[in-house]
Amino acid sequence: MGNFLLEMQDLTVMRGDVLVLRDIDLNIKRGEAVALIGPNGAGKTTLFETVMGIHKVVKGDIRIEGSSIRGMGTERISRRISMIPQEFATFPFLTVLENLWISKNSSRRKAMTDEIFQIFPALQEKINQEASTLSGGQRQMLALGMGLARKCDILLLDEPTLGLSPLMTQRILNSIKEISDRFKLSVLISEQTPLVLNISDRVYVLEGGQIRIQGASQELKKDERIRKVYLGMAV
Amino acid sequence: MVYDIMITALSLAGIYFLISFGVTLLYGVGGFPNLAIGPIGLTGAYVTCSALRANLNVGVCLFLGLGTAVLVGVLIQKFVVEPLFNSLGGGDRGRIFVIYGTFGLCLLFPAILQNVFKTTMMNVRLPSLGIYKILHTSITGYQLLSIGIALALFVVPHFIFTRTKGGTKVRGVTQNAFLSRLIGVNVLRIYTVTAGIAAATAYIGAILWGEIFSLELGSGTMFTLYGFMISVMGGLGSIYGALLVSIILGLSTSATSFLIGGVFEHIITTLILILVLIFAPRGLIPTKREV
Amino acid sequence: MKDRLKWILGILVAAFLLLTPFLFSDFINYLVATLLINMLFATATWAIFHQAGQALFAIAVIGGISGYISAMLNETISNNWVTMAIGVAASCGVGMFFYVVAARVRGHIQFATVNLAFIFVFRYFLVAFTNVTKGIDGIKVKYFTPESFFSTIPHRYWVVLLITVGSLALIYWIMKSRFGKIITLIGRNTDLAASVGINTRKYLIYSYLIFPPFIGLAGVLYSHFLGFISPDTWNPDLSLIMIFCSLIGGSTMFVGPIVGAIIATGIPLYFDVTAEFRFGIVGILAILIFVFKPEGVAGLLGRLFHSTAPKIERKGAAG
Repeated sequence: MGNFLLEMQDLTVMRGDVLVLRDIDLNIKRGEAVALIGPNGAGKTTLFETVMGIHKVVKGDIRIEGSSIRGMGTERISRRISMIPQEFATFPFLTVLENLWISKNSSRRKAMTDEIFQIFPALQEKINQEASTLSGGQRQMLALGMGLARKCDILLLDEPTLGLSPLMTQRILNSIKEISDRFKLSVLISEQTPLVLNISDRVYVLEGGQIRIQGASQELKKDERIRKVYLGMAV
Repeated sequence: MVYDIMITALSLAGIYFLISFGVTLLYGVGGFPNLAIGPIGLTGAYVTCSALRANLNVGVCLFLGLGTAVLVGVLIQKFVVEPLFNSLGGGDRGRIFVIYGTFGLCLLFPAILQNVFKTTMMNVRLPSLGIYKILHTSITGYQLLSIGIALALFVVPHFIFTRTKGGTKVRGVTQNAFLSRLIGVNVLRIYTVTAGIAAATAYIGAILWGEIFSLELGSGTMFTLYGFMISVMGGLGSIYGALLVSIILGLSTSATSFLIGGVFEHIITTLILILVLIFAPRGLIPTKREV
Repeated sequence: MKDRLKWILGILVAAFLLLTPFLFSDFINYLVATLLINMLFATATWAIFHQAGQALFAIAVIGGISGYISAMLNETISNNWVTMAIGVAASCGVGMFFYVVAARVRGHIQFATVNLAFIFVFRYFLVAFTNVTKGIDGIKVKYFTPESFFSTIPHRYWVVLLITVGSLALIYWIMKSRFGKIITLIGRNTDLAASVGINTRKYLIYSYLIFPPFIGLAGVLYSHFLGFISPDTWNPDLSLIMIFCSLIGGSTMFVGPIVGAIIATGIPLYFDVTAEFRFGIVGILAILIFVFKPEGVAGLLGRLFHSTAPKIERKGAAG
């Protein structure tokens, strides 16, 4: 099946003596937005970090467009996949411009900065201010901008709306949708908010290091189990 | 007499800055408190001295010494500092073990050096760079050199760190190493290069110190100690702070030795260290580090 | 059963130590005595450095000051039990001084650097004020009072044995008590200690008052046992070796520094290795051990005898 942009098969990861991920099968097509939901400690962050080459793969494979990236260094992987971590996703004492500048993948075409500022006009105002002076929402916008600046076709977003107000959460998620559509990027986004199902095509449920449920977002949105257990919503 | 004190002060400041530059850089970029930096520079200096005694070409001697220092520095970074730091998950606990490990090396180096070079004291016999008349007094070529190199070592990094993309990336590494890795920065390579530069500056400092004073087995530990004192006073990881403190210490040491007599300079220096830390616990120009 | 074994072992060791002067030559006696003092030094260091978590690298200064005060006062005050007591009391003062510095200077590396500066300078200080301390070569010190009785090594040995074993027992008792457990918690996880309502400041002040005297005691014992004191002994290397004793032997257990002292100081002393190599060996050993076997030699031995291995907190394990 060569039409997956990113694919994981039987992925098994250990950290120290603990088995953190087991037999993960996950794939993303080109231009798709896929959600990864699950409780704290399920292994979402570990999964992302493994894809980026940070943790060692014990069993299984990770492939981009059919070619394996298992065992590849983060430096090389980061040219194809851009990950925005859960916390500390910006350089606090560099300015907005500097943050974007060093994120740019210089081997590709130049300044995407204009496009980023179009999507996030608030950043343009703060262009010479240090990232630590920005509000939570603005910092998240900057992080997204930095992820974009890398010009990768795959984006991994680890709980991008963590700690944000409901209004900000909606705005960020909308921006992500806009980015994904506009630049035809494949996005894997881990979240705890049910709103993520509105912007994704498919969803995987990760619990205890294993994929428990998967399917189309529209269908699973109505599923009682999902709503109650994973999204904490009253049924 | 005032000019004598000033000239000596400035050249001393230059050497102090050189010695502390490695400590400051390595701690600033990677958070590694490498106490072996002094002995590393000393080792290179010993190699150069031995080569000079064997009457090899001056350039070759310098090259050999510099190469040795950089090689040893990088090896220690890769095989002692980084493993120790990571073995405890990094952060402050990792740092304490790096301190233990590199201080252990400080104990080890004199033994090795003595065995290899079969001597305790070394005199640096570099060709004279002349003496120049300046401001009612004179200054040797090497004193000028120490001032010049220190200045260059201050101006050039400032430019690199603020104006170039690579330098800004390094600043990024000091603030968030993990994120740097994710955006494709080869953090390990940066640490290696930093260790090499630190070793090189320690070597230059040691050579100049040896030229103006003399070198012995214990000098390595002394360089480390001074390097750390200056670095801590200036604000660990702050190059501007280290420069400021180097100047202050250069003045105090020079004034003490001209006015009171050499033996007290270390005591005065320690007193200044305590005073500075009492009134400015984070150093004179503290850096912001995101651990 | 295991407890009985420990008692029997303890009595055997005690008997052995008591009879050493009869069994061995003066040289061995002298070594064992020095080793005992080192053990005391290392254990007191362990308590304040590894347990209470204070980067007090200047322990050599504390020992040195006590040793010198006692040695110098002995010139005017003939009973050196008195001067030793004064020396030990002085170390309380020095301890408090370092507490004040620690409280003001925030950060372990900063405090460690100040400490290192102190030890470095201590030597120059002693040498500079040559008149009072008789400078570089050191001064002769009287043996314990009455000097005639204690001019023989076995007699001095027994004094040292009595005092060091007694002190070690005292430190053991302190660390086992509620106070000791609180200190250990503060050292391991200061924030946790504070959050359960422990007045960390108070306990730290007590540590700086209680443990330095043991170091001072080791210092005065050195000088009055050896009959000699010089600035060369009190250098950064000494502090470091004492700290390393705990790392080599195992920093979580009481016997750790004791085992470490035997390895780090006993073996080189016995083989009479040159100073540089002695330190070099300790350096390598320490690095090797805490990279490969962080629980230390005592921990390893412990694992052989017991089924449960001593637990070491390692940050950064899975998750």
